[in-house]
Amino acid sequence: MEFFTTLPWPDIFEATLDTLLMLGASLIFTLAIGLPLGILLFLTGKNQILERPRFYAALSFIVNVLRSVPFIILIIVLIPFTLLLIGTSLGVAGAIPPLVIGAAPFFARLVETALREVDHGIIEAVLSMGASTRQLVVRALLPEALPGIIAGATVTAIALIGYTAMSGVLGGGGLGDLAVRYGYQRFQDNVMIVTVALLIVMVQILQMVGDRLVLHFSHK
Amino acid sequence: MPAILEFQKVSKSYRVKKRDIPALTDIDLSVVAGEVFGVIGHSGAGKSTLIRLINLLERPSGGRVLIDGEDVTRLDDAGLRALRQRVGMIFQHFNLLSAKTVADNIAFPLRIAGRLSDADIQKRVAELIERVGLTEHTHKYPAQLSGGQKQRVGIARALATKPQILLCDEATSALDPQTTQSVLRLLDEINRELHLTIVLITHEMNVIRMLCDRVAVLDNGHIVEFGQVADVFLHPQHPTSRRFVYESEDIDEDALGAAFSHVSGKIIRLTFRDEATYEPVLGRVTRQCDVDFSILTGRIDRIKNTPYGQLVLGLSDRDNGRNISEALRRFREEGLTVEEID
Repeated sequence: MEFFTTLPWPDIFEATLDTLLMLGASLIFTLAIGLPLGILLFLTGKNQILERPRFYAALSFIVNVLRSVPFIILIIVLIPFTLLLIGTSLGVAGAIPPLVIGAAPFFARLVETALREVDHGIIEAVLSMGASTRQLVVRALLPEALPGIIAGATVTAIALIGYTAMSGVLGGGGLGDLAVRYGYQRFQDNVMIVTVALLIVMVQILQMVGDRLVLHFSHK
Repeated sequence: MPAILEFQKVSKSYRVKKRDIPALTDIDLSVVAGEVFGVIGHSGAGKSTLIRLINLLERPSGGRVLIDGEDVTRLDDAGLRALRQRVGMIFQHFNLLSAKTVADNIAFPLRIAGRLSDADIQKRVAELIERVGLTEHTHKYPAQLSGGQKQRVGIARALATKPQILLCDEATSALDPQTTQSVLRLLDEINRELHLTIVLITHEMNVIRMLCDRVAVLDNGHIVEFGQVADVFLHPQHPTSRRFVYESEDIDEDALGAAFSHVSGKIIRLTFRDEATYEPVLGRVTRQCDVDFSILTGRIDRIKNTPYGQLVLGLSDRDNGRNISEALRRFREEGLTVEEID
């Protein structure tokens, strides 16, 4: 009984909401930036219709750099940028720029991979009908790669949950912050356990929804 | 007859490791409106490059490609897209959109062209689905169809924008023999009923024999033989053409040669075409000239709509070959082709 009575329920509720807010907002921006970036990577890649070796190499390098910086360091490096953009590096709003910059390149790579999975013959067939590049992407490539892109978005969303916990440590709020304050600094194990349980539930739900959508959109 | 499609000194090479590897060299071709034109070659001969030069999925390195007298290599982007809507294409592996139903696949080129209203598109799609015999599969996805059905969708899709030319890239190579027949019959029907020019590439002589009016034999990036299918099929000149014909007829030339060496008398190959195929020419001439014959090997079949017969005969007479010479003269007079084999 003590396990439950000593839990700071209002704090847990607020932290959960903050985490969901951070996740939701950063996911929207991540998809909005990562998807076009992934398409650009794909189209300018080797043997693709807008092949630009130098441009691709440069873009690819930037994406790799952003992906290789550990997220906790990325947050710190980006503090001046976040201040400039949002006015604060703290709270839910302050957490979003590093989350997006950390996750968008990751998602872009997954989009690129999903697009590469589309049979080259389909691209050839669509071009042979007189499609423009835009029509090719919007009407053929994206629908064909949709299951892969949704799977990538699911993986990205789950990675973002992990990232939000980290940004909590550096003033971002949310469940990560709660776990550190209660579980680590005040040795309240029960808070730690509830936090982890909540995170697990979120990941499970995301994965389930993602899998359902992938299944719904695949016709192979 | 005016040429709908013309290749003038077309060449194509690929740059691999800073060296130019030629794929096609000095190709000259002209395809007449309404005919079925076949290009046959082994894999690596350059035929898939050749067919892709027509709608510029590949750009020629040199020469000109003319469609209706217009040099397609000079078209700008918009011109090229408009041209591609006038040239349909079907593929060995069908290349259907897996995320779209049969109806949506067929509607796809119409939606891209953006000229028809939704209602008109639906009407046209229903018409096309009926033509290729897939009415009960309208709302299925490609993964639910057999290979032959997928190719029918491919054909309907290629016909959607009412093209002048249909390009077939090994369209039956992934299909079993029976399905191949039915797809070839459909293409033949389309060619006759819509007067649609068809250009196809294949490595199977039977496809050429059943469907094509004229054929070009491609070997190592060069056209080595070219002409009416019946001529090339019955009298192949180039070794590559000969190999294609004998492969398709299951003829082993060396084994035949060995078998004939035991036959006494004169050996000839007699070719009948059209009406002569069904005339009792052979019996009449040999009887009148007092020549005996034995049939060593032979085949009687059709090339597209032309019946033909080709027999290898051993002839003997009791007059030191004079009667045989007379018989050969008479055969030629009757319009048969006589080739002497030693």
